[in-house]
Amino acid sequence: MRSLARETPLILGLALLAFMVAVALLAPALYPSNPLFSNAPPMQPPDWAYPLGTDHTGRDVAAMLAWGTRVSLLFAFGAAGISLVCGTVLGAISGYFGGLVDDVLSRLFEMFNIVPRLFLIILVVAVFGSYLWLTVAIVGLTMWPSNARIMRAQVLTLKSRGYAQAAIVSGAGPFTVLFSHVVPNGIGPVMANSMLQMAYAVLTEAGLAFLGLSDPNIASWGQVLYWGQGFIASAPWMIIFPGLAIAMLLMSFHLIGGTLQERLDPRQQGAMA
Amino acid sequence: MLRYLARRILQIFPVVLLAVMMNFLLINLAPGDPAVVMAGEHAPVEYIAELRKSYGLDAPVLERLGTYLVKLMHGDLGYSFAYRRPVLELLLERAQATMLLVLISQFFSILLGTWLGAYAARHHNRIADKLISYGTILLYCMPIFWIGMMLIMIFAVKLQWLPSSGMTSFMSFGRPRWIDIAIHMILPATCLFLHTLPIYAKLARASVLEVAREDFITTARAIGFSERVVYMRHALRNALLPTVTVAGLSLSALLTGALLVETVFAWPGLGRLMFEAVSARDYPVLMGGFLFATLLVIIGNFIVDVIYTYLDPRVIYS
Repeated sequence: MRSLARETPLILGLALLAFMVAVALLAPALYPSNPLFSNAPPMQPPDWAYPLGTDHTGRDVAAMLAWGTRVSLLFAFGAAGISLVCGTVLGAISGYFGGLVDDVLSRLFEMFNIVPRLFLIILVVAVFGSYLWLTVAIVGLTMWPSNARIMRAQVLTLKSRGYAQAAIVSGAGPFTVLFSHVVPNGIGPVMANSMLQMAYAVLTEAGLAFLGLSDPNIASWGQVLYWGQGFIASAPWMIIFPGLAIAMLLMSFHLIGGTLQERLDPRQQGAMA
Repeated sequence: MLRYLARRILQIFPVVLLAVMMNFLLINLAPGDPAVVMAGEHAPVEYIAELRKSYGLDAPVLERLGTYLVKLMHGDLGYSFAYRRPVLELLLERAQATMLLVLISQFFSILLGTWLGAYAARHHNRIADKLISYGTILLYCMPIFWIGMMLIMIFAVKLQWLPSSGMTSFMSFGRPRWIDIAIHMILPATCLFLHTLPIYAKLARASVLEVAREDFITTARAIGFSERVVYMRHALRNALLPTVTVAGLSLSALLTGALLVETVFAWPGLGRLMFEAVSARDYPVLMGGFLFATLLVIIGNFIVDVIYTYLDPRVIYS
């Protein structure tokens, strides 16, 4: 039985994530009107009516952030999900079949790992346009190599285990063995890595928006920061709060992911996530 | 050794080719006219027509790819109409400012991060360790450009100690140029430093903890060295190899960080150039910048590999 104190990081992480999900779900109820409509006095510092202040065009920062939670979570789960699927499948195939397939795929993982991701994403989004789903897909498609590498290593050690061999002997096809016996047993470290990738996806969304590459019709945390950069001196609340929101969500991913990693690798102990 | 280096240099080409292919793919998949994508949205009509001819944009795909590769190999990355200069020239000029920023911030980041991590490991599971651990996670969770804006808010707006943007002042007040640059660099360099500090701290902590279980550490303790000497001299030295590896591997993350930091502080480097190119839809600069950044990362990796062979005599290269 583990003591509750040892579980603090995990509980804190889950609580933060639950809060964020709740805000995302409740956003339409809390702020029914379009958050990008200006219906408040501009540049209001935080007060009772507008707890996080208003921006230069009279938009409620709290409303924009609440709606922005949806965008950030979409990036987190969408992009990390795409990366999880691509990485797991390609890594598993590479590790299981070995030989030429492995050589080619491993090379590919390496090369994709070297390419500076944000530069590529910027280029793609600038050329194709800043559509929300396109951006989610691109972020996901640039993240998979690390998942693939982890999955490959897992499959390499797991495929010689008894249960995998038993499945092969009993006549199961290679893909059945791989995806219903080997992969489910080796997915743990990939999931831990996925938590970190979710954090990275949220950061990337914010970074892209900050560079002016976010869909202008959608309120996102990075977007508010982008609008706020001209008002660092006159409306600091436009910058402080979205940043805190990002840090909170990232913190939850890191706390959960760190705990996962620690459980999977008992040698590594301590607080470092 | 020489053969290893030669092989390593040969390995550079596939990655460069991958980046080039991505560019080529983008030009051809982009909605609208590929010639416009290659020229950028500021280009005059005559130039676009000329481009179409010189790159043979009406020719079959493979022929176009060939022409594109030949042009690239001659160092022709296109022409930026937003700046009215060749892209390569622009990139080389801006890369200097980025290098300055990156090298200085990384020097301090590796030094301090490693020290912090080793210190945390030495006080494993005690208050100092917890503080350093949670502090580094917290830093890790803040977007780098947000840290930058907070630094501006505090040190440029509130305290008015430091300039918030640019590399030099319009009026130098009789200061030598390098002092002027140094003053302008404090905030962006601090920002980039804070961004990478957690990576090195976390790494050093983990590797020192790993090494701390080994026999030679027990021996060093048994000889009677103080804990400080055991950790800082014996354990840390052996834990440094992963730091070198990570310094190489995180180069692409570092350039990403530099891109955002330069945007916040209007530091005239590659990143700021990319930002300006985004707003001007200056595609040749964006594509050239992507290629250039890829090349920088590869070269950096290569240098790290070479350093590694000197640091770890156990590594045998065949």
